[in-house]
Amino acid sequence: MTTPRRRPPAVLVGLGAVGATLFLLPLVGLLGVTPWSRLGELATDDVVLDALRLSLITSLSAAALATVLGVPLAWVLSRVSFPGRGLLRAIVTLPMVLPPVVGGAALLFALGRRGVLGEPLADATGLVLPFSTWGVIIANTFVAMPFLVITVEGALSSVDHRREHAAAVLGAAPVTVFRRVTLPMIGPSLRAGIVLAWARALGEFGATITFAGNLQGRTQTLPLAVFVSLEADRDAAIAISLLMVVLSVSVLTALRGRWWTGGVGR
Amino acid sequence: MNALDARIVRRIGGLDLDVSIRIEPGQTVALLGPNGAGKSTTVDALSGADFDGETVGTEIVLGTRTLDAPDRFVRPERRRIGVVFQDALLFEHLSVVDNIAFPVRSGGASKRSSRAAAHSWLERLDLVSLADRRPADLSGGEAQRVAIARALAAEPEMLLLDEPLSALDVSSRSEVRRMLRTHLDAFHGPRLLVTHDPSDAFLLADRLYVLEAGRITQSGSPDDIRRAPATPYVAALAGTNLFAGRAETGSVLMIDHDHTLTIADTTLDGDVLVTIHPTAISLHPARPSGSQRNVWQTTVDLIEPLGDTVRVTLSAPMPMAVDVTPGAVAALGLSPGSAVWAAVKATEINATRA
Repeated sequence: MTTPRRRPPAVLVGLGAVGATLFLLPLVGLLGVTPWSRLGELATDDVVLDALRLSLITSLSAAALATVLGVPLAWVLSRVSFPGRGLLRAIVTLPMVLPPVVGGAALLFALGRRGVLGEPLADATGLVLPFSTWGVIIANTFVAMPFLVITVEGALSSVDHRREHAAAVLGAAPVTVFRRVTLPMIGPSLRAGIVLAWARALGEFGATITFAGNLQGRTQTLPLAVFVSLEADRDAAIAISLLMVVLSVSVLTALRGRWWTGGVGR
Repeated sequence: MNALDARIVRRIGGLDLDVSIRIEPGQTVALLGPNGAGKSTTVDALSGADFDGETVGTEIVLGTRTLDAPDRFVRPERRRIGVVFQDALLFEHLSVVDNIAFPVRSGGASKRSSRAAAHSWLERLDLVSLADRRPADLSGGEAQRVAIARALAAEPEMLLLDEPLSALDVSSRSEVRRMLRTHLDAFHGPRLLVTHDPSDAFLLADRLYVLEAGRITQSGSPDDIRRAPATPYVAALAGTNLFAGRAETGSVLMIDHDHTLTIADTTLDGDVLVTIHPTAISLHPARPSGSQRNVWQTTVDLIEPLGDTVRVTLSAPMPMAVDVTPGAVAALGLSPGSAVWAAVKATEINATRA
């Protein structure tokens, strides 16, 4: 025999339903205005294909860069105590709060052709970051990395340190302990952090357009293409938007089953 | 081979630990103490774990290598001290064989040769059937045996066993204890068993250090400590009258003592643990004529008051604690050195598989 289940409180269900509607309504609206007959033609337009290719390249590169740099940063923040650690932690999470346009402008002042770092870099190597695909990747990394750092740092702080000590006692040098014991222990959170960072990079708009501009084939990612098309060809904007929705939803659902349910928050 | 010579000082907050321990190569020393005495701090200090408090006076020397001194600190990965932890601490993401290969791999061996080395350890410790399992699928006893194999695979110069049996249930405890007995003997370096369980300490160790509130209160052979407990804690431990023996059809030949006891259970066979409560033993001026199956002549070693009763410690053939009334001591005219007959019923002897 089971106990009779209590009816869930009406207030929570009601507010939850309003919240869900807020998510669903724009999607329904988008589907409602979609020019289904022209969709194939619109989605295979050169502008769209260029933007799609560029979006995939830059968001995946940014996710990779955020991982390579963000994981060590998270480790330092969680394991090394030094003066100013609290401040550094705040600065790392700043891009999550800052309007992306401000981030893009700041990147331009630092890495632009006349920037503090950009000028010596351009003089020495001839590499000019703004208005290049590299610029897009850097802007994407700037806004996406905090998501990875926060997720991974949280996981590192809750790891059982005694297992790392056990590995050290068995003769493993610190880097080996990190690679062979710590990283596998935080695996689920690391994967969640990478997905979050990638998702943020894919949707990135403000910092990209400010720092890298809007050049088709070089810096015009899908969100930028939507923005431009809204002025010129509404149907194209709708088609690209739909493409982004399909891309995001399919990736997120594909990963959800394997990565999100089991590990995160365990 | 190398001896361990250590003085460990650790002070922080309410913790005040200052112990000196020496272990010869091939010797098993038990560090026995109640919870909170400083046992885990001692383990941490030996294994090189980080410590934020005061350590002045600490000096740890293993063979010719100084591991910890004011001007020197050897990191855990270079100490070559194999540690078996209470809860095994296996790496959950690695199979059993890869757990055992881990230290070999960390030493620079290739994946292939470290696996091969791990397999030879699996064979030696009779764990081959577990090779491909994940730690999550092991019983507590199996996990601890794998942890012992992993510690040995690192080819350490010293073994440190931190409460290796206390997280286990009764049946796997005896299984792991048996394995420890065999493989401790085969390990030639110093061996330190840290435990709060007197039976493990008395059974496995050649020498005991008793740790209470951060200080060593007594050290000596198990028999020394049984014979002359220095503190109430040790007296309570020694009073358990615990011996290892080999059973065969109802009689138990003691391993460390020249004596045989008769027990009620005739089905037990092989290594057993025997415990006799101090009140279960009766003392007589002459050979008693009662129904007791175990009767032997001995001499009184020590007499001391223990609350309302008197603790009489007997000497050879079996050092044993007996609790009697003050009246009985007077009636028997007992004093150290006096001859006496001891008797205990077979049903009063508790024997379990070791």
